[in-house]
Amino acid sequence: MPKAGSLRSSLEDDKGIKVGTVLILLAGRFRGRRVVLLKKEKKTGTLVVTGPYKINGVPLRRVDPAYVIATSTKIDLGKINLAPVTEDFFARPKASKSKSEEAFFKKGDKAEKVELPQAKKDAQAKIDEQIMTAIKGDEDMAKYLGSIFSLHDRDLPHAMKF
Amino acid sequence: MPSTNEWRFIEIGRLCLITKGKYEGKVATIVDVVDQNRVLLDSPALENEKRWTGVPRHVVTMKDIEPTPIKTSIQRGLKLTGLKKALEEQKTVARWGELAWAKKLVVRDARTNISDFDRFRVDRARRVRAFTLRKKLADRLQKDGKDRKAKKVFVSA
Repeated sequence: MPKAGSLRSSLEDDKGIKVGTVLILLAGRFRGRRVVLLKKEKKTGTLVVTGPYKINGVPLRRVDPAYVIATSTKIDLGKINLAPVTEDFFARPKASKSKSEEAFFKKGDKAEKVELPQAKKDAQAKIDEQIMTAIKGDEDMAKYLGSIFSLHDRDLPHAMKF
Repeated sequence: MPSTNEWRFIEIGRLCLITKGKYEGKVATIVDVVDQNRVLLDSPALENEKRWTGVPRHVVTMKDIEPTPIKTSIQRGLKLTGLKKALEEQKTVARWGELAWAKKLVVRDARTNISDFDRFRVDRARRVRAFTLRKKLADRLQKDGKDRKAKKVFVSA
């Protein structure tokens, strides 16, 4: 996969990237969504984020830092346990390359629905739980994360502060 | 418009708002007059008034400033320490801060520098308020038997 864009300085501080920053995704399936930053993948340079899933439907996902606006809002996650997100968490499942005739004829058929592995669901739940406890009591934050960013008639994006 | 006895003269000690240039938005005192078009301004940084002060002594054209109703009694060409003392004693910047003009500028600042989260909160507060008012009106109308349909208001998020 091509190397991701360089990380903006607004996302980093002396101790590394600011975990817990709220980001606005600008491109892709979840464009406009506000998500929580978890970590930066060294290998690819991408950012690992989560909705949390229950709030806005964004799962644990990698995101290119160039296609993101880092807001000044930060959730204090303390020492969040990101162990469930392993190194190969986002690896594409290896499709069986059977060269048999069966496979050849099967190609045209509709793709079978692949169920998300339980391990991923568990990881999602574990991480989101930590975030939910961090924002507990802050009703505004939950609704904020659930809202979608868009430009309105009189908005001047170059003058807006995030 | 201010009346004749409230004219804001360009004079030594007049507090002016800088409307253009690097120090736009700051407030400074006229320390000397250069000629028909230019004045010497200075605004020593005051601890409690960081938003308004902190302009080095320099010459400025009248076009780029706006005189305020506030004035300090100082001698022409007063140097920095003397000027700072006079401003503090006469509470010049504090008096400026009391004006509706200054307060409006502060509000404008807040609106420009609002964070994304706060923008959302303000937005939401407005929508909730609008909804509450309309609902109250609709309930009242219904109670009075006028029974007009309350306009459906989308408040979510």
